[in-house]
Amino acid sequence: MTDIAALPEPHPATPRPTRSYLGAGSDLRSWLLTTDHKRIAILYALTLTLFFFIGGAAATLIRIELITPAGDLVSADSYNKLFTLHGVIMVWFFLVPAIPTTFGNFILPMAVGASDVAFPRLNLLSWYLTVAGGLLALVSLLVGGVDTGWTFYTPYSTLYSNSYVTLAAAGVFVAGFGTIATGVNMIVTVHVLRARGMRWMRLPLFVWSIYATSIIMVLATPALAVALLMIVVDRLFGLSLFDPDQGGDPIIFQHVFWFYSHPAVYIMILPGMGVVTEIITCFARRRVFGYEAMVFAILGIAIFSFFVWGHHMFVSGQSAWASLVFSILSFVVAVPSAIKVFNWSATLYGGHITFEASMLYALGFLGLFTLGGLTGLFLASIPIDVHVHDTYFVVAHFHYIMVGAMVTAFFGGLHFWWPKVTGRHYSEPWARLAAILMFVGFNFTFFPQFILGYLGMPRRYHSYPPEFQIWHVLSSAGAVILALAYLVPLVYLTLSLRYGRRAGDNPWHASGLEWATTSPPPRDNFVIPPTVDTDPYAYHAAHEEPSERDESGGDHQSSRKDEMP
Amino acid sequence: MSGRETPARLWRRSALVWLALSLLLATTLGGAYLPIGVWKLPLALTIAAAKAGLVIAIFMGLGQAGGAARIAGLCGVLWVLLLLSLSMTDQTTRQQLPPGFGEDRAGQP
Amino acid sequence: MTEARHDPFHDIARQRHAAELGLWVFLASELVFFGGLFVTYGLYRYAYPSAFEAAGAETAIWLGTINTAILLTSSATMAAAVWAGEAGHKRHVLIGLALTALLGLTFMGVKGVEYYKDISESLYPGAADFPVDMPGAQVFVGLYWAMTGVHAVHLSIGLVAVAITLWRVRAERFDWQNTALLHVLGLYWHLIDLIWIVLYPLLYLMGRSL
Ligand SMILES: [Cu+2]
Repeated sequence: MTDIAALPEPHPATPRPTRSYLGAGSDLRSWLLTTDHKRIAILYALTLTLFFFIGGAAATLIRIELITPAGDLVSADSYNKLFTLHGVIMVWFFLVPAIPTTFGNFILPMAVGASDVAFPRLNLLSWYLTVAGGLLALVSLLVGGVDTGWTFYTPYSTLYSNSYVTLAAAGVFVAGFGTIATGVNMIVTVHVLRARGMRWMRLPLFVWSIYATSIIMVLATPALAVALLMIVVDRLFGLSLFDPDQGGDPIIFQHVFWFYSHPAVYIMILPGMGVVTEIITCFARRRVFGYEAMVFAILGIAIFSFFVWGHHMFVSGQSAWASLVFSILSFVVAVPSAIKVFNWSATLYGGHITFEASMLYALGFLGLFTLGGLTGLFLASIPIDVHVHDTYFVVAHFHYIMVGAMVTAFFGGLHFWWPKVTGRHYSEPWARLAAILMFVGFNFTFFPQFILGYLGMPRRYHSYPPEFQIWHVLSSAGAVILALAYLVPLVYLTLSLRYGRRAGDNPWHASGLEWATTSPPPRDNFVIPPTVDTDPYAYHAAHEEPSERDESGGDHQSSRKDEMP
Repeated sequence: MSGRETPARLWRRSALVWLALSLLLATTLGGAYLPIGVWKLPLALTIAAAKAGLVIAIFMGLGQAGGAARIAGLCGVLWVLLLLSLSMTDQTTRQQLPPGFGEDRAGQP
Repeated sequence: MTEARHDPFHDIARQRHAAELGLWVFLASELVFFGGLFVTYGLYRYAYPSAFEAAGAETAIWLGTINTAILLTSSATMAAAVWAGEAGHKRHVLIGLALTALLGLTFMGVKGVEYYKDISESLYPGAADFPVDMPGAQVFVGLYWAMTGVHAVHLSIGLVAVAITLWRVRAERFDWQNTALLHVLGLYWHLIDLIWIVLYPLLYLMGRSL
């Protein structure tokens, strides 16, 4: 971290062109061969939206099937393929890349004051790898499907499954290289391309969270790659690496797999935490509470996340001693997450809070993340886990984290930065409605699943005893609301591109560097490379009277109200 | 690297390291045939670490690399050790069922 | 020759720094990738020490040792090429790269011979007359194929990269003295060597006796 100080400061270059990045051409070539991080972010956003709706379609079918106790809509086999499709697409082609490749790509270089990421061509390659991997996975899922579940557990995946495991694993493998490349790019960008005066402890927490996420991406994804590789070579060449007949031990596969897949949860959630920090500080008009504690919590989460994977294996045959160790370590990783929740709450305390759509999402995130995190602690304690392992309790828990927290944060960021990305305002009333619908629909869908799981309904079954039906019907009804809530933004955001009011450079009066340039930003982000001489979140300090800022804050408030349709 | 290094000098430097590496290779090959039982693996891995150290320190120029680069390389090694050590807590403490466990139920449906 | 510096960097020092740091981060990632295989090996070896020794004694130690020597030498020539690049001696860059490519090719050739020998000696999992009849022995051989195979893929990528760089330096297609490209190529090549340095004792030196 100190070595960069030895290098000369970047000298302020001559002013660069002011034309918007969208003005650099509109033909396909100008998009598919672009090295502009903002355009690549848009490419990612479109691709991920597509995958999100494909994964969502699978979820819809699953929820419809589960309305009745009998397996009447799809066969047991098709049901296996449906939830595998849902898991594979959602985890690797939406959740993992979602925020780092879209807002990370678009906002991070601007937030550190750079004109692009460190390796623009590598950035484009990442997108192509993600698309190629996604296509491979889609093809495998369409030509016949995969029935292993997203975890690809051996020896089922190596010895028994006669579905298209190799193709799907290859798809995830390829996309993994895209993820690693993104991670390398972000790390180097933060190290090398910070603007003059942008010291480490002045970085916005969103940048810190993407940086920490990138560390996890770089150090965890290869473990997934090698786990999948072992499956693929085992299937192709019969290497019998996990064949119990030859002395193979399937639990070893699980160790390598979860060495990636637990930290992957933090690949998903850390960027969401970063987004939420930006939103909460902006709409509470407050400097973030405990900036340093937040930074160390982010880095702590990134590192500790590698120490806990065994909590997924309490009933796998892992030794009880190892389970004990992993259980204790899992409680440790909850500490930095709790610090973050307390700090967000403290930031809100005494703030001048307004409830724009993105703030509604951020507040929803706080509640849902807390609920998801706390149930995670239940699951990290061995006695409870043994009872509810592989039940809907687990399903509900991780959907609270991944959908409740992470997807909510994604929508929060989408609404927060939409005016910056497109230069347009969306319809605020519709956006608020969607935010509320999403919160209600989500809880309606997944809270019943906690109860279902506690009562003993196992996951991954397409038929079930009739006494569970009421909870399944509730859940499916909630899913209707949730699906609707996801479709509404698609409409009003698209409409805003044409009919939305022009947003100014900084419609929310936010403090980050990305708001210091025009909306949409020019190709090189800043006409004149910025210099930084203040700490981040120059809103209110905690000890200051909120009323002191009321004049300007009030002004912003009224001007914002005026802009509302 | 300051100044213009002559070709002779840089080839000599590379050859010296190569010589050391080759000696280590000969040692580890010989060591594999020593009757030292369980110490074979530690010996072989120590020599491998010495070879790797030479390559990293001199060929890859870790000394000249920036602090962040050094931390990155170190993290790679540490993460592998983490995966090994924590999964070893499982592998080394797997329970064996006591002899006779469940035999009283044998033959029952 | 085009300008060495390119966007988004303001100066060449920063650009070099970025390329080096980027590659070191990638190397860390690669270490974890191979680490997954090493750890799998370690866990199995703990479970089946004698089967691993018995099966380990079946690999072709002479071919493995020759290949180790070849790869160590190629690292030395690669290092010389990189140093010559920093000092601006084009001819020595070319010589170093050419030797490296040649040694890499030789390694692949020897490896091919070894694979052929392995197959003819039924040293692959599921072979009808697999030489060692112990639980865990086939897992060792499975790991042998997986590890050397993945290593060979990395080496092939390295070979292509070295060949392209050789041609581009010869044709002065880029500023090989001021950009970090040669250095970065060297780092990748040395990583391949490092992996092999660890693979060699694990796969070839176990279970040997006079
Ligand atoms: Cu976990």
